[in-house]
This record gives sequence, C-alpha cells and structure tokens, in this order.
Amino acid sequence: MGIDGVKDIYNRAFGDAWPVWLGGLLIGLFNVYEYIMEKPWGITTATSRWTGMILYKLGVNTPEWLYFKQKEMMEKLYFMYGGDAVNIGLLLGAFIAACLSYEFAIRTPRSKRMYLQEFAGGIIIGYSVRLTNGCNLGSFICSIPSLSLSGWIYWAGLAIGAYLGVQYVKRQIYRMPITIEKKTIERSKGMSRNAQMFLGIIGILAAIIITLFYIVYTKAGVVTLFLIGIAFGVILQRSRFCWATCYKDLFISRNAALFKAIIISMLVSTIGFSLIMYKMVPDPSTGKLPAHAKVNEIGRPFGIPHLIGGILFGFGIILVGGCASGIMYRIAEGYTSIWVAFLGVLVGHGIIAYQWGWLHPNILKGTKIWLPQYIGWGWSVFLTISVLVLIYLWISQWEVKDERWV
Amino acid sequence: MDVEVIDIDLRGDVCPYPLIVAIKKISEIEDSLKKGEKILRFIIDHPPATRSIPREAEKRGYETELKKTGAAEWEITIKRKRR
Repeated sequence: MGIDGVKDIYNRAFGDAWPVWLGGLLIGLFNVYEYIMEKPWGITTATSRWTGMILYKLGVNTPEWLYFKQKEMMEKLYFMYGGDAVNIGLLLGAFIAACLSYEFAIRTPRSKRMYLQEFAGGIIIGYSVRLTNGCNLGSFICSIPSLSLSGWIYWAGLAIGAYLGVQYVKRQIYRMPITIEKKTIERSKGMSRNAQMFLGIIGILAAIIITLFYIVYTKAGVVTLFLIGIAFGVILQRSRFCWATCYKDLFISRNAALFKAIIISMLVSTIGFSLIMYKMVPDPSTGKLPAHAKVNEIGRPFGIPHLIGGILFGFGIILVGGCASGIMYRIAEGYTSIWVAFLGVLVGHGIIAYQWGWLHPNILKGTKIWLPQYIGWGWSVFLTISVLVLIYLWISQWEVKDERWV
Repeated sequence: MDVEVIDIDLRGDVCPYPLIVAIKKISEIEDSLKKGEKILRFIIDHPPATRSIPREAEKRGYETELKKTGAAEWEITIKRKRR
C-alpha cells in the first residue's frame, strides 16, 4: 500500500461524514463488545462520581451520602476504572476525529443568554439521568436490548419531552426577528488544516500514552474499555450521532434518518445482549437478573417517576442541543456553550445525589421488570425485535409523506 | 435581472436553532426564492446542520449546494431549481 492508499483511507474516514446507519450499526456492535468486556455503555454514572469527588474535595462529606455509597464512589477513584476510562476515551476519540477531519473549532454562541439556557438545560439533564439510572444510553439503547420494560417507558418519556422542547425553542425563534442577516460576512479565523492535523496527532500520542499507562497500572479490562471509548468518540463525531439531533430532525422536518439508525443500533444490541444474558441466566424463572443488565428500577407509582425522568431528559437535551453522549463529544469539538452545559450536568447530579437519601427508598426503589421473567426468553426477544422493526417500518412510511411540518 | 444573495450567519448556534431559523427564513422569502430573485446562503459551524438544512430545503423543492469554507465552517446555498 503506497502513500495514495493511505490518503484514500484517510479521506474516506475523515472527509465527509459517515452515513448515520453505519454509525448506528457500529454503536450497536461496540455496545455489545463493551457488555462482553464488562457492562453496557454508560456515561453519567461515572460523571456523577466526579460531582461526588469534587464536593468531597471542597469539604462536603459526600462519602456518607446514600447515593455515592451505592455508586461505590470511594472505591472507584481517579479515572482508574472502567466507567471513567470509557469517558476519557470518548472525549479523546472525538477530539482526534474532529481535528483530523478539520472540524475542530472553539465555538461561542452569538448571545450570552445562551450560556444561561445551556446551564439550565444541563441541570435538567444531570438531574433526570440519575432519576432513571441512565441517560439516552443506560436508560434507553442499553435498556431495551436488556429486555427491560424500563427502556420502553423511557422512550415514551423521551419522545414527549423532546417534542415539548422543540415546541418551546420554535416559539422562542418565531417571536424574534432574524437579526443575523448581513451583506458580507466575515469568514472564520479558525485554526488551519495543518494545525488541526498536528493537534490530532498529539491526541493520538496522548491516547497511546494513556493506553500504556492503563496497561501498567490497572487491571486488564480497563484498557479495553478505554479503547472502546475512543471508538465510540470517533463513531459519534464522524457520523454526527446525537439523540437531540434525532428528535429535532424528526419533529421539525420529518427526517427520521437518525431515528432509524438508533433503531438499527438497538436491533444489533438486542441480539448480542440476549446471547450474553442467556449465557448468564438461562432460566429466568429463578428470579435472578443477569449481571450489569440495564434493567432499571421504574419507581412508584408504576413507572411514573421513570416516565417523568424521560420527559425531563428529552426537554433538557433540546435546550442544550446534545444528549449525554452528544455533550461529551461536543465538549471535544470545542463548543464553549456545551462546556457550560456540562457544568450544569454536574450540578444536576449533585442536586439529585443530595435528595437521594429520601428519593430512592421512597419513590425510586423496587420494581425492576425484566421481560424474560414474565413471558420467557423466546417471547421477550421476539417481541422486542418485532416491535423495533414495526416502529422502523412505520416511521419510514411516515417520513416520506411530504407535508409541511412547520 | 439582478439576483440578490442573502447571507445568514448561523455560526455559534447548536441544534435545534440552525434548522428552525433556516426554515423560518426560507418560508419568509419563499416567493422571491421560488422566482429566482433571491438566493439564500447560510454560514454554519454546527456539523449536523450540514445534513438537516439541505435535506429540508430539497424537500421544499430547492436546489442546494454545500461547501466547506474553513475550520468547521460550511456554506449552504439555497436557490431555485434549474429547469
């Protein structure tokens, strides 16, 4: 393979964006791979520990809080375990991908007011993800393939919340006149292509150093999770995969491309997760749950707290312009507004962790509905896959009808 | 006949703002866009909008062109479809 071969591969990988269906397929596969290695993909359990650690350093006695006890905050320290390794990998992977594809830029919103909205949206996200034990990943694309009822309840909530969010933003925009019209527009003074290439290579070197560091100082699984995290970062950045974008496209312009890609990822994961879980618990009637399966507690009264969590999250991601995974990779792409949103997320984690001592025993605890325990393995897998396929077919029909949506 | 080019700066906006503003602007000047008296040009730096804005415009029957103009900067041109 000559220099042209390398150039060709580079252009394919970092030229135009990858098609979203490919992103969905790869996310589904890597999610299964991560479950084989340790647990399904998640982001916010790890970030909530960051809140705990930061408060602890500031002198708050967070190790005594019920939430941080449950999340083993003091045992999982300083980026040396799987959850943090995935997140660091994701940030780094997205940064490398953004630089190599000449898409890194420090972006500042036009109006300062936007920072306020991002911060508020971040708090809503940070709060709601812990209400449901997961974000768009843990509560949704890992939960449905885990054959848990909680994923479906969450999906309903997410759709409702995102719809409300889109309506809110639409009203906001239609009330203002467009003031951004100009005769000539100054073009960006962004970083040059070579400078970005250089940054990308530094990112790759950093990734190699961290890999070696993990190999030497942690147990074997952590380094694999770090590398999976890098893969997630690259996939998300290159295919522009985001749950907020998905619902925005869906509700504003009847564009379901991302929605369908998300279903593809869940179909792939459902097959993989089922095989993994079947190996762990062949007989579901024993009442045992497969380890790390995202069968979330749906709360009392039946499922309502979970639904509310989904609605809050859906609304929050539209305000911010990024879901949990979207926030992570946009931090690395250089969005200052999303940096502020992430601060909001950490604050949101702190608020719910503070309330956890009352909230968890009284409202959230209990009721995990794992479908195989109720209808057996065969029906659970069959129903989950067929409902996903039906939704896929239905949305494909719906999106081609060319009606004005706005 | 002179064709007026209207530049709209959407840099710094994140989802869902670019798409909604684009739709609002397209609807506002639909007549002159359709007649070919005006051309719209959006400058964006939010990658997802490079997909969603052209798709929406094409659905409404316009011709679109996407051009990368810098570090994370694109230009989307929307004009009347050539017959």
